[in-house]
Amino acid sequence: MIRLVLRGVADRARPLVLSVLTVALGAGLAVAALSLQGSADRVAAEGAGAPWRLSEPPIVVVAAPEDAGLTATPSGEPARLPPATVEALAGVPGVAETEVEAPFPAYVVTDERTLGGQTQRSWGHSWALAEAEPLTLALGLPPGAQGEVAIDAGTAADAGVAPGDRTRVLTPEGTATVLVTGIVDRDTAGGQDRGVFFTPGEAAARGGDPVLAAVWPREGTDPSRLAEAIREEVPQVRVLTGVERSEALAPGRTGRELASGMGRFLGTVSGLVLAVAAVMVAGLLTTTVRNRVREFALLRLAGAGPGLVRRLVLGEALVLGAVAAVLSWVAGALLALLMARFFEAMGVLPPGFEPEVGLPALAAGTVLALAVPLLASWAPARAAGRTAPVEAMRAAQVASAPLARVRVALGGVVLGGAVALLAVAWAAAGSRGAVVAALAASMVLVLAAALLAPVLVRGVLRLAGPLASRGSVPFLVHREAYADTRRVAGVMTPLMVTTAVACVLLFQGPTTSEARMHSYGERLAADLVVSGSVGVGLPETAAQTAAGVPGVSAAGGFRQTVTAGTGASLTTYLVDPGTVADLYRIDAEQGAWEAFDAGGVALDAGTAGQEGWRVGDTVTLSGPDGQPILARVAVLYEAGLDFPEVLLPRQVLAPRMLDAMESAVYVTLDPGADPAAVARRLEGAIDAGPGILVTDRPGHLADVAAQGEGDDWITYLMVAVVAGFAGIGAVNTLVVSVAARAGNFSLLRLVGASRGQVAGMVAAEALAVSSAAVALGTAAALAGLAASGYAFTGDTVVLSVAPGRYALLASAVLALGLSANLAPVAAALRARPLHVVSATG
Amino acid sequence: MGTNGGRRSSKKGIGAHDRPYGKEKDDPTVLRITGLTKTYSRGVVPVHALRGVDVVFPRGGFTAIMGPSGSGKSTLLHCAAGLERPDAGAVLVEGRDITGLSEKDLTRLRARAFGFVFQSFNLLPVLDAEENITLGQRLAGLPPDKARLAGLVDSLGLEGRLRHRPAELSGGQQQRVAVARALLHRPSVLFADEPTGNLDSRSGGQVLEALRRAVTEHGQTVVMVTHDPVAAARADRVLFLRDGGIEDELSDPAPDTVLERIRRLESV
Repeated sequence: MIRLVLRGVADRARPLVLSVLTVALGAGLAVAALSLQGSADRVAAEGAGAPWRLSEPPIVVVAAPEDAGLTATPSGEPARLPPATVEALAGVPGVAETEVEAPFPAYVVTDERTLGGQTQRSWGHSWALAEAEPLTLALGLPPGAQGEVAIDAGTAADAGVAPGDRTRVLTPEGTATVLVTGIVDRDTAGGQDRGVFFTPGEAAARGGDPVLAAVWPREGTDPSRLAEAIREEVPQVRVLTGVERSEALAPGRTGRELASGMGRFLGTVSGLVLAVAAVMVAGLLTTTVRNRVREFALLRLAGAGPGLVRRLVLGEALVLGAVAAVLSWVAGALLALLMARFFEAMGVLPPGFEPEVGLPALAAGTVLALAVPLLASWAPARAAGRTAPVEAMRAAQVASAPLARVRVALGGVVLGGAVALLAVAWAAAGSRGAVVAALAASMVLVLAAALLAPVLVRGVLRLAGPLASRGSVPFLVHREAYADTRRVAGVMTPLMVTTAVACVLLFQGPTTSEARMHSYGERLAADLVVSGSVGVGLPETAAQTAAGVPGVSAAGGFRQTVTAGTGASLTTYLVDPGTVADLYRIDAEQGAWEAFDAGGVALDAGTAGQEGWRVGDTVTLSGPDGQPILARVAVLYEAGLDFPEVLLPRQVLAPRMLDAMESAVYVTLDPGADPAAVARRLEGAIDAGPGILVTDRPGHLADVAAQGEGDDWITYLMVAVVAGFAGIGAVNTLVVSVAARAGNFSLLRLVGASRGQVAGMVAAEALAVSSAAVALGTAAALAGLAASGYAFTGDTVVLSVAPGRYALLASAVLALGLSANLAPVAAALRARPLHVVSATG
Repeated sequence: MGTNGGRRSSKKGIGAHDRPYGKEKDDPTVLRITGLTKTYSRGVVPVHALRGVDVVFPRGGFTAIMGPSGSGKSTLLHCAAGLERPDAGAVLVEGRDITGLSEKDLTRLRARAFGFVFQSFNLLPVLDAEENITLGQRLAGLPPDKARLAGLVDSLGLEGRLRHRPAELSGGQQQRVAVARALLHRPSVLFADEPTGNLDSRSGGQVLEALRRAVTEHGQTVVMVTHDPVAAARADRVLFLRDGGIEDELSDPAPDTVLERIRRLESV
């Protein structure tokens, strides 16, 4: 039995190689993904990636939030230590000294630019933090008085300042001129945040309540005992010692986000590859089982039971999996190294990252490499087991098997599901569920199309029948395709899935942005928009300043953060309550905007409904720092999916956020005011550094739209990976079918077909099949995307497809389909009339 | 070459023995082969498949080629039909040497001047019988000759089978469809390689009858390789090959005499 399996594998080595490689690559990617994720976790666990280690004070104390759920999220904020707690801390016996730290945004600005922004933050710190780290001074002295700062070496170099120079610093209060007294040794090249160090007194005044306290014990006091004592005597704090001290301060969470994004990306890709591998192996084994019917029948005739025949096929899959498993170790190690290098080049690895391939990752790869072929061979093995002994004696060529009824039935059910999802998206348009349903519908539609591919092929061929009667090549293509719809479907499916997945990946973002833009434009009532440097924003005083500018009727800023009710986190804007009705066209469903004041909260009607909150109720929200917020519900509104669920007065949360600078300030004008003149006056009045920009409404909408169009390399990489594997799938199907078709090609040549005619036949089929795949894939994806656009806006079908990108995508898939046919074309060109004769012996 | 040099004159005698049927052309010889040599150098020892064969096929004649395995009979057929290139010698079709033709010209020649029937796999499984018969016409971009088709279908007993796929036809019916396809374009020569090899005697008989009729009723020229004395007996003459040369020949054969000759040939 084992010998039979091995011989079977050896006989079909060539087509099997591709499957083995695909499975190995899929499992290898899984190994790489798990290895990199594991390495990233290790970096995080060892604290190597933490921006601040705070190794000088033996004990660091931070606040323990009441609800830790939100603080850990990317938009979370550290909880603050109340003044009473800091006092209590200083009073614990054995404490010699405490120093506190509360970071706040602080950007060194030159005449042309603001140093720091979206990707590299810049924070103001207390000099005490530099001592706690400890950082050493490369040049100069520590800040000694109000208006003096030390800055990191990278920023000093970028700004071109040295100790003794004056420079401007942008903080939430506006810009201020400061004296640089020292340069600290801190490298900002690796993506570390920039730092501006103030005297402890000035830092405390600007930063508010501290987020951490460094504790120095009295001489002779055991730090661990003291830590215990603090835990007992001071409530609501976490006491950190040893390596845990590096958890105390991580103002920018971009590193964590990027590392998890990398893991997600690798996981998605490896999942896709394994899915492709499963489809490929299943297709390959199905075809070989069909080709081996007589062999199996002969075995059955010789007394083999169905079980043995089944085990032959499963055994073959097992051998395939075993080879792939070994290869996956090599592939996984190589991929982990390559990927690490690639991600490093993209600048998305946390500092201190070292790729390491662990045993758990290898084990997972092995399991996947063995499991995928085994699962994929299940159906073919069952089919092989059903072979009747009488097949051995059948003289006629095995006719094309009828369509698998189960597949068609399943396809029908899935299609029904897609239609149902689309209906839900249509009916519930304007809700989050509708958008999810619409996007799911496009994927489910693709799945249905893949399952129904043979039926679709048949339908298309029936329609194309009249066309095919012209000329010998179309005629033969039509007949060959009709006789073997499975082969055609086998080539079409991967190409169709590629087209659909690529369409969704490429156009979902733009469609959502366009839908968002549509809603945003509908809602925005402002005439002018003031913004600062990207990722920096405007000082907290900007709105107040703008309101005082002549010609301005109302001005209000916003800052995004996060809160939570009893359920999932809620996107939240900090706003100036009195200006909402002027700046946004949002109708109050219940309550009135006039009632929205300092103690109030405005809520999305749907969210409020889920929480059971009504106008007039006093509700408790959880803030981004995990501390409760009490507010009276003033307004319930409906404003579209992209609008936050919660509006809170700025002063409620701003002191509890590290960075509460205004993202932008919206301005409405007095009747008759000249927009250009007001814009000029606003630019002069608002103290936001060189990045300040005042745009009118259309200009602002265009800017926001342009921001959404950034090229996303991860998307392109994923499209490339999917396309690559779809190509392999198509090639595989064709390579397997070539052997059977070679005889036909030779016969055609014998009857008088020229090489060109035979090759043309294959090329025509390739072109027709690829075009059909592109058309079907596009239709399935765009139907879902258009529905998602409608679901998003609730009133307008939005679909954003860049013609250039689509043309590129379509021609790439066509090229893929055509090049996948190189093997059959080569066979067609090689086919010699004599082969028919020699085939007969 | 030397072994059968002495018999050359007798072969020429047969070539001169004209049997004019149906359409007359000026040249009574449709296919003339001279000095045909073919050596396969696969393996260590070169195999001399043909050693300077000379033979003439008269227009409207039905020639059977017999011989033990390895005698070169299939190679002779392949070279005569332009499917293989000989090492030396000439193959004159209607007076024109085809051994130097390009692959493209050979394709055209096969499509216009030759018809083929083999032991098996003569038909494209995806086409029905009529589509298989008219395939050559279609590839050449010619309208199918409806009258000729009807005549062939009638004489080959294929009525009511034209819409069937090969898988739905019996072996004998498949071979008769192949014969119809090979004859539709009125080829100069129909080459048949063991056309009855896979068939029972009744179906085989029907195929042989079809070939016989093609010769007597339509004036076609048929060259058939076979190992079956009964099949060979339907021909006008039988050529016996051995070791790459023509060893013997028999005119107006009967099964018994063919069998007797074969036995003698194999015992030598």
